[in-house]
Amino acid sequence: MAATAEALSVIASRPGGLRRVLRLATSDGFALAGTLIYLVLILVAIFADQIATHDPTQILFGARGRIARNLPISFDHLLGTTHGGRDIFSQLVMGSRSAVTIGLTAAFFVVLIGTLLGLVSGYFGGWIDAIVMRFADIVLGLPFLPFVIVLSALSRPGTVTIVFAVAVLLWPNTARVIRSQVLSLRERSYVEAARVTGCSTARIIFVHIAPGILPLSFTYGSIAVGWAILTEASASFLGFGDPRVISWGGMLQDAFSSQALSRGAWNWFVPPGLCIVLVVLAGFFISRGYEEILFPKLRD
Amino acid sequence: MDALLDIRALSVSYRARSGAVHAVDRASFTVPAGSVVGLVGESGCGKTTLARAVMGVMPASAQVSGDALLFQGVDLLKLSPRERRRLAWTKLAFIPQTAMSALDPVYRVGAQIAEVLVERGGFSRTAARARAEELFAMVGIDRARLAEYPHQFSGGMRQRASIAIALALEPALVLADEPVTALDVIVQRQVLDVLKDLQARLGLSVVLVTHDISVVAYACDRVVVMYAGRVVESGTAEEVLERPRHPYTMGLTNAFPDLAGAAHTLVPIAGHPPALDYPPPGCRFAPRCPFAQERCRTLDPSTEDAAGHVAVCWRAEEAELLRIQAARVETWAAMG
Amino acid sequence: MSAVPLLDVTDLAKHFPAPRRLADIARGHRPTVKAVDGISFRIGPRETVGIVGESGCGKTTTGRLVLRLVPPTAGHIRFEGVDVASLRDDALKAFRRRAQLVFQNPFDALNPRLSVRDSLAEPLRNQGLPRPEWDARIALAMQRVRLPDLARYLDRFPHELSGGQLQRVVLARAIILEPHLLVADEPVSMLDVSVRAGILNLMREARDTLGLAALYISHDLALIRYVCDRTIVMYLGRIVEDGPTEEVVRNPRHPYTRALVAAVPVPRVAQSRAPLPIRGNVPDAREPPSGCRFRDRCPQAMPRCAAEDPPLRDVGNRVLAACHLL
Repeated sequence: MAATAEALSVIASRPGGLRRVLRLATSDGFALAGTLIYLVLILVAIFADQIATHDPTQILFGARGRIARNLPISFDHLLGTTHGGRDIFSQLVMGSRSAVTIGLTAAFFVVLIGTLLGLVSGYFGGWIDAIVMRFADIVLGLPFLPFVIVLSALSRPGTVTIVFAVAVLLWPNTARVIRSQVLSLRERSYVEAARVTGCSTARIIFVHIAPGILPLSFTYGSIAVGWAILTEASASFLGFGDPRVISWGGMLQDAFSSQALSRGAWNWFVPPGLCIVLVVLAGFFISRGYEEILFPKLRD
Repeated sequence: MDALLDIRALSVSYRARSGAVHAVDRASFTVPAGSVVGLVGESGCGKTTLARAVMGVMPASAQVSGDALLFQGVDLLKLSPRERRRLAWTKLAFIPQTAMSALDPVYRVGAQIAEVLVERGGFSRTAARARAEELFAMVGIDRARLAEYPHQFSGGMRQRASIAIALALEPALVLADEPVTALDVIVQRQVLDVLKDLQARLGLSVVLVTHDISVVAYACDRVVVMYAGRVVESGTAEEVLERPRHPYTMGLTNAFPDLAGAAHTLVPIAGHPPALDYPPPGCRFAPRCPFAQERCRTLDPSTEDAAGHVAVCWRAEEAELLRIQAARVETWAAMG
Repeated sequence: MSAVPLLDVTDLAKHFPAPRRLADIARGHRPTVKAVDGISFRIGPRETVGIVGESGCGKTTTGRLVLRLVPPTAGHIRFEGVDVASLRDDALKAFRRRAQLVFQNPFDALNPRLSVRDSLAEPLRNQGLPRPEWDARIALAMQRVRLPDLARYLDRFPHELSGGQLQRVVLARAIILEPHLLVADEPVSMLDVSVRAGILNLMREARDTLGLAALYISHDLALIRYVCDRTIVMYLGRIVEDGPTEEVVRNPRHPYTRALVAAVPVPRVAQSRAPLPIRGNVPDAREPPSGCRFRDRCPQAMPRCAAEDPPLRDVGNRVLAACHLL
């Protein structure tokens, strides 16, 4: 425990650690775009209540008491209304909350599990490594979406299930990359130096090796955010999402089942789709930009 | 006097993120025909950059300028890139520092030599084969090994194979960048002997870039000492090593252990070379020099030529006295 | 040398499995590289011993075996009377306090995220030394490596220091626990020439001021000669000569040593350029020659050399050599 705390302080104390992160955001055009998208997403999610023009779940009625169905874009309804008479724009804005929640939570767990297993596997090698890697291989062999669907069917469809599914299925890639980085870091002279002075294994892992791989974890974390959101959208679209939560995937499902496509109601299905795409892309952009910082040779 | 290679005030600068780096600043020296010239200095002194600039293998961001870069009377700086390329491998050859790993691992060594001969030298396949065998014999490798792959060669053999490839088209001058640095001492000696042998038999000229003064003393007829991008001393090996006229050379010769001599105390030179993006004014060695005077720090020292033994130092005339002082540990310790 | 040697190595061997080629698999053959194949030597409490040899001779592996960084395949390593291989937990930790390592690459030997102070504190922390003592010990170690300006260096990070300064910090870290044995593997090979002398001088001093024993490993005989009282010459995993440095350098007995000494260039224009008394190249480590390993390169090989492996014997003047000619 003390070792972990120390590890965190070690990273923080790295000269220009914060400067590095800021440099990451501004150095690469793509990384900048990605960071901005994330920033906007988070802000929207936080201030969703203020930004949304209507209650997204409320069925709205127009003049003469009729349901305000499939209204086109107007000042009242910035993106029009759904077939059920709900304001699309408000739904879009509210949907950002579940995106952020699911995305960040799932990514956090993916990174946590992947990093820990990667560290242990890479450092100890031998049979521990073999077991973890074979386990990872098995998990990688599981078909993604069907697994999520089965899981949703067995338990309650909901946010928790999605987060759990994503965490369980996405950690192997992270673990593998972390592991290979650990394999190379393990051979560095300063790690050997630590061993020669009688350093405990826990300390070597957390103080000498971990700070070197955490940037990589971060990179994979940002990719995981995108994947998580995509998974949630897919599951919701197929009807396995949480029906009580407004999400972009849910919007798409609603639009699809209301035959918005054939009616050409692009104001309904394009915005949530676009948002999903943008967030996933943002994750990739950031990871790409960060990769260039981690491995400067890629720049030339 | 017609030197094979005559470098006059050559300068090379790079554009790096932080600004311009002046890797080489107005370097001048000559390479007579049939001689081995050692270009010696520490890391960052510009010797590799200089060799590459002469060869014309610089990255696009580098700027090479100078009064003249005469090779066999032709000014290389005035040639077009195509004409320059034609010279490469034919009259002028280069053995890079990474020569050992520069051989393509998926082709047999013989095939790689043959490729140079056929592509650049217009040899026929059979003639190329014969020449390859000849080259291997010259560098002392059994010709049966032409059929092998690079990974089957030891480090020393790969280095000798690189020399063989460089010699394929009978160049007049070979630029070798740290050719023996990564080799064991016995192999190092073998490779150096090969170079000397080629010098004697073929009249080959070699510019041997190295940081090791002992290698220079063993293999070279002439020595050029570089520091922080400038040539600080040049002359015959005998003159420069036994009677150095520049304080840096004096310090450098003190820093090498002599296995044959008595075990004297090694004298380190305190400090480290200046960064080349903002070099200090005046003499670049002044901050570390125990004999520095006021003018050394402000004015670029003039070039003192005493019968072919060039030293770029304000106090070059006092060299004899300075040498005595330089031999004492206290002189250098006072700088640290 | 005193009665109880600090380090007593007997018949030490380390075999590595070599990658199998198709021909090996077909024959059911498991090739091994005998990096170290039966070596014995001793180091006294204040002795400075150098191991010299070319790449592949086993000197680096020997250094790592002595520090128990790799387990031996055979043989014994006794440090202050105790068998190193059997050490566990507390005893192992105590051993780690008394035997330290200086690395070849100063740019890689320090954790880039730790300041100089923290890197120096690491051994103290790992050995459980009381916190109040740390500052004094750090200051002393820095003084000993001639970096007394603490305010200038302690809070710096590795990327801010030059190669020479880094290696001094590495040395400081190695001596901060006041070990009895210091092992240094090519400690100056990655440093600039004008900087090497400073580090080598420090090492020369260390043996006097710190009273420790040292094992220097290098391919550079001139360096070994400068720093070490005694020199051990290795070839293909065996010791071929072991004696006082001046003796070994001035009057080499073993043919390999003779070739090695002759091959080292000196910074004088007037030096011998005679052909070396050695033939051919280093043989494949997987299949060393039978009998004396050096025989296929030795200009004086006799039939006996192929049949019998010469043992390391006393040949006078405190020199041990393994050659049938002597």
